[in-house]
Amino acid sequence: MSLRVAVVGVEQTPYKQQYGTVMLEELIFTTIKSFLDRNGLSMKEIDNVVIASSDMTDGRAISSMVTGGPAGSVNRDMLNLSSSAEHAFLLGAMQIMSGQYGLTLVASWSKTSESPVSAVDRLACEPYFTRGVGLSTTTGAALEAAAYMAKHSPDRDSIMKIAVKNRENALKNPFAHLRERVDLGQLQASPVVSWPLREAELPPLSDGVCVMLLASEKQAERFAGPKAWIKGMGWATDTFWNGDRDLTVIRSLEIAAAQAYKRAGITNPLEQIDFAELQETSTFNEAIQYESLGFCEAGESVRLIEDGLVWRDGKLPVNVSGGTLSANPAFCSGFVRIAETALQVMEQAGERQLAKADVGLASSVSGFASQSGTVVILSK
Amino acid sequence: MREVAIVGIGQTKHSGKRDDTFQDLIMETTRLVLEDAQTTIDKIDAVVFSMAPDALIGTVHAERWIADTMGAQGKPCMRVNTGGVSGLSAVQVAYYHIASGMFDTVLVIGADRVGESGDAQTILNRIWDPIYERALPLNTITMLAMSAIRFMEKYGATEEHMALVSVKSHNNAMLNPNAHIRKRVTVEDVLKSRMIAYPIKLLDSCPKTSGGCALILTAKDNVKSFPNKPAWIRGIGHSSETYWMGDRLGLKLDNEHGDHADSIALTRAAWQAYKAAGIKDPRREIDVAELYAPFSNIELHAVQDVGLCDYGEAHKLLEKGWFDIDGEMPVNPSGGVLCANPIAATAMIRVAEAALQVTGRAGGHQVEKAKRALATGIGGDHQFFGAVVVEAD
Repeated sequence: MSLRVAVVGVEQTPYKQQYGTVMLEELIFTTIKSFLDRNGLSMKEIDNVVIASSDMTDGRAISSMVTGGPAGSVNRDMLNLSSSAEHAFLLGAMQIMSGQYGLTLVASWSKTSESPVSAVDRLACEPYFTRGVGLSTTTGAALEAAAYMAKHSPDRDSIMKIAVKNRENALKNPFAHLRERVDLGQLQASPVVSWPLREAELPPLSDGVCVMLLASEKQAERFAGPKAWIKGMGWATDTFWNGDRDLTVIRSLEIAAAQAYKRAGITNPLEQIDFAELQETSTFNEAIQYESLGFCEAGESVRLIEDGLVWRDGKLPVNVSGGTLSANPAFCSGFVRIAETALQVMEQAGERQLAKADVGLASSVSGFASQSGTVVILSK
Repeated sequence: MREVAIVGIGQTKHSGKRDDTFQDLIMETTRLVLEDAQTTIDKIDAVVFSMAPDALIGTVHAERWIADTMGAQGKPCMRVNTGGVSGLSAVQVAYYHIASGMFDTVLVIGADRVGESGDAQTILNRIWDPIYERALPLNTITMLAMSAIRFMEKYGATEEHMALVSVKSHNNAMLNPNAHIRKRVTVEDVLKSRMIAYPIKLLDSCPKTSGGCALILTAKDNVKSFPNKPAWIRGIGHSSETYWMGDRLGLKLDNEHGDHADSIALTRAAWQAYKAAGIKDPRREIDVAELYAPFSNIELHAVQDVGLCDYGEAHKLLEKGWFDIDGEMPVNPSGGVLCANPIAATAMIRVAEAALQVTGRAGGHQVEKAKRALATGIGGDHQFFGAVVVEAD
């Protein structure tokens, strides 16, 4: 019943610590303008726009008011989602599946250099119980890590190797923020930020903009080269209360993956998926995602790392872009995972292109300790 | 395209302050919509939240906090934020969830406690440019006062016409038990009320309301499993103008910048919805309209922009009672935004009221023989506009 939808184009800024005097509006405008020019498109040809922006990370109420214009909102339908950046992708896809539109621009961004991320985190705690505790993205990730350690006692070095892997992958990605190799010794010496997580096991904070163009089957014909067709999508929001959850699994992601796999006809992800881009909020979080996405059984992530399965030349390379540990435009990091997956499937990933990238999985998590999760499956 | 209907409507009694928490308000709104549709949260496939500036609730990303309040933990949830139009945008997002074939039954919800948001206008001052505009100080009242002045200048309307809109809304709200402001006012009362920002006076203005609204939407195949008469969503439209009000000078009315007296994007949104609904002459084919108008002057330009009368005619027809609940083209029979404005829910209430009208469930403020209705919403600095056409069988 649903109409087919493909990603036909991706544009991103290099992610970096700060864009200094370049205003967010300018950064959005120049990224979209560059995308349109590069593809010989005019904004007039775009049916509608979906953006995802967070008022608090953008630093203004209803930030879509000012960011919408540079994203192309004027004179057309533009909707803004504030729950999570990847939700803009999901909505854009559903609009085309509905038959409402044929060519939809989806965009998100973060200029973390100008936002007090920890204050935003604190205000995202409800005022009665969690705000006083100091729950944040970092401490949320640390709670997951501590729970995983308590339950599975993984080899600590093996978990740290996830950072080694991702940072090494970033060497091939000109858009990554951190492009320096880290070895195990450096990781072991890295200071603990929130126990048990060390600094090098956590993502940096980056500025950047990411844009994708979605097309109906008919519109997709206009674009040369392989397209990244959406085969499955799933998303879910779990309970807000971390104490009510088993933090050694990401239930939101399990539910999202079940939906996406069902729609895509995937029964054995390890065999049917060629690569994955996961929004890892920490090394441990990536390990837990392997299990919640069904790449392995609970507690077996270490094996995937030690056997080389998730490395660039492995059976299921994970985060060949360098992942969130190498570039983290905070609110938009999950969206970037979908874009990187699309680039691989479209064979436009440059030096980081994988030889076999027919079917890719993108995941994202948001909220404290991965309260919400999204899974998107793209294929040639 | 897969057909979608509204089969559940929940709306709280709107009021100023509430003694309960945001959680309680969400829980009450959820309960009301589930009871109306005689269903349970287990039957809901996905949830769409409407939530405008996070600061109104005081908790950033409060959509994450309320998932389990609704019993929706584990379900697909997303949150829409397009300012004042969020509630109606969220209905459209829920519509896409179903029309796309992804889900069958979706709950869409919005609630706010503006009565306890500190100073809403201080928060809304933060929607403007921090360097050039915040200091003026712009807020949503001064912004729309400029629109009112331009409207009066362009079409010859007066403060008395604005007062007439307010009198009509207040009269209608007397018939609506959910309305926040339920008090009859006269033209004289409005004209004598406190000046807020010329020409907008206290009684030309919406109140600071706490309340919630929720709808249940479902695909055509499921409609029969719900007891209510369905209100079919026949057309939706959304369009935007420039953020920069100074560019809305009407130099070329047909261009994308428009005129701050009118709204070219509201016209585009309405006609996108009309076209999908097969409507060619809205004056004849629309029976009742719920138009988002937080200040009395906005209703005057909105009825023109959505094609329910000619440009320059709104205030003249208003004098003749054209837009009264028993007039030729009833507008805002619920009392409208002037009598209840719980921000995240406000534009959703327009759709809810339109759906109640076409299904004959509007009670005391029911418009006779209403079969097809228009609902609109406005967000940003009079920048984002949405429209929904609903129809009964």
